[in-house]
Amino acid sequence: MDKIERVRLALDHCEPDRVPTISCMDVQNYVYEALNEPVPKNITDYFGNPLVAKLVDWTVPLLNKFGGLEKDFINFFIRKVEADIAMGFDAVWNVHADIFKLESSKTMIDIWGRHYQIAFDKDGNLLTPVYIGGLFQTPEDWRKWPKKEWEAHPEKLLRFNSEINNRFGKEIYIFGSHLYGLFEQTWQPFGFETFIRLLQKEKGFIEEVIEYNKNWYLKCIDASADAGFAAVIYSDDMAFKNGPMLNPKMMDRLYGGAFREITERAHQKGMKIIIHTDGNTKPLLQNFIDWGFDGHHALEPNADHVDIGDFRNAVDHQLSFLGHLDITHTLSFGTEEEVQQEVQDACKKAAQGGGLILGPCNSHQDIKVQNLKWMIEACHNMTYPLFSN
Amino acid sequence: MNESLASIKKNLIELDMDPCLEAVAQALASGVKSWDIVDNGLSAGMQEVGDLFEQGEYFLGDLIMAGNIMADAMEILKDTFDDSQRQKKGKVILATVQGDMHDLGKKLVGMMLNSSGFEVIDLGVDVSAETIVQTVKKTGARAVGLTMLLTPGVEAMKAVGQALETAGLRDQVKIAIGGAACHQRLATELNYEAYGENAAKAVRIFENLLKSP
Repeated sequence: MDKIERVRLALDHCEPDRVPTISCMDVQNYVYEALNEPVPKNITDYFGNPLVAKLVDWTVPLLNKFGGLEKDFINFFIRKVEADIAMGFDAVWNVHADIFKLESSKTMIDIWGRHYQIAFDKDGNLLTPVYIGGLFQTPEDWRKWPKKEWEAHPEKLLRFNSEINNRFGKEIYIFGSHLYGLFEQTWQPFGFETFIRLLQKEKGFIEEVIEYNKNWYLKCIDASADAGFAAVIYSDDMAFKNGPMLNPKMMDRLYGGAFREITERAHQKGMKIIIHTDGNTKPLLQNFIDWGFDGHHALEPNADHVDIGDFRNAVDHQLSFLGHLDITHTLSFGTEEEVQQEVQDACKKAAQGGGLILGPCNSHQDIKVQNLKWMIEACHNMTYPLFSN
Repeated sequence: MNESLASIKKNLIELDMDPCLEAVAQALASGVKSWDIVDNGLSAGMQEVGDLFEQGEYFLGDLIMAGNIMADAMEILKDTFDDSQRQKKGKVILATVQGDMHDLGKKLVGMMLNSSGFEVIDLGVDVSAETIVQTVKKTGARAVGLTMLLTPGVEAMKAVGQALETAGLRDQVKIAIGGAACHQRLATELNYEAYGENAAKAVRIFENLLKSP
């Protein structure tokens, strides 16, 4: 059975030959170690040098104009898919992150008004920038923000997705994706406190932002479908370790209609749509189903109340589950036995009848290539019918 | 309970901002003492919101909404307090450790502590161990709350205890930690006195820490 068929069957809640795997890794060390290549130098590698940093601080507009960062990001995410194929993953979460602009040698902004700290791993390689706040305080700030690049984004996304699918679509099951979802897109450009304050004082404005983002997100869904992807991961972190950020009832009142339109569009285009969010999502599971999602990615095992067996019991096969494996210990510092055990436990709890695709629950710099190989190998042994003895 | 105080509490619990603020203004106009409004209306409501959060009925956004109502109510009351009416529970220094820029959880902890009568000294984000030591010296605070969202902050978190030790202050200061990258194991490893899973638990944690010798 090939990878595409294996993942398709699992998403359809049928039992393929074995439990499939998915990668969401987007860390440089992982990508280049998997490809057996040294991490290449890129523009940000020089920021640690005080003289270069000063120069960057002076020439930011010029650097942004030449798009050095943009080329680095696009090239990296192409190599990322190559790395996932080289590792033997069955599926990849394809990321298009051509959204950042330098603000200084230490910070970035994105085209939607978020503020980031530039972050490096212990070897000095660029990590995913760390969100530190929003650029907007008032509705006027948001309304005045130039949206030219924003509007142009779906077209760029389509070009990128098409290239990825043409190059790799026969070798690995590709989940299209787009950063960011409606919830993150509504609160992050303001910061959560300002967002909540606006929700209390100017709910109509928040609804305006949601509506704008929904219409724009529908174009991003089209950009995955038109590129030929059979599924898309809707990435929208709604929960943290303890639970959802917003009350699920309010979440449904504010966003439910828009989510339904997005999932309906994906289904009309023949795609499955999986919702990714970190954290304790137990209080949101029924919402995910009601909003029309086909599956849920992350199921972060260290978040409170996230037990994949409980989750399966709660929703049966109304949602497929993707990711789930621990990155704080097992895939980062665990032994081969620990990796095997965790894969086996997850399969025992949630793989019967299909609907389970295992992988790291998130991307993290500490995850080891060796541990991922053990994970993939362990999944190769999870053949259906499972645990028939 | 006074009808207006009951109305303040009820509206705060239900997160109804405008009716709650109207009830505060009415209570003040009818002669209810400011600290009475805070203790028996607003703080009582906040306590219940915190309990609902712990029970999984309320969520982060609800806590912030309640905090915003509390903050706006305090704005109405700010010139009416007679500080001789009561004493603060103690001083608590709050800081996001060096290298980390996240402070949402910390602000929530500050809000919960403030509403419960603590004096909160919030040093903000990306705070060095040295700044914390200097603040302990300057204010005489006996409790420090540290937070971090990201795992690389562990070293910075460790440095605070070491710096307090070097300054000869560790014995007189209790340290509590919290935030996404924290857990009880880390508190134990660092020999810190407490770990808080969420902002709602902060009040009890710091009350206990400041009660202990």
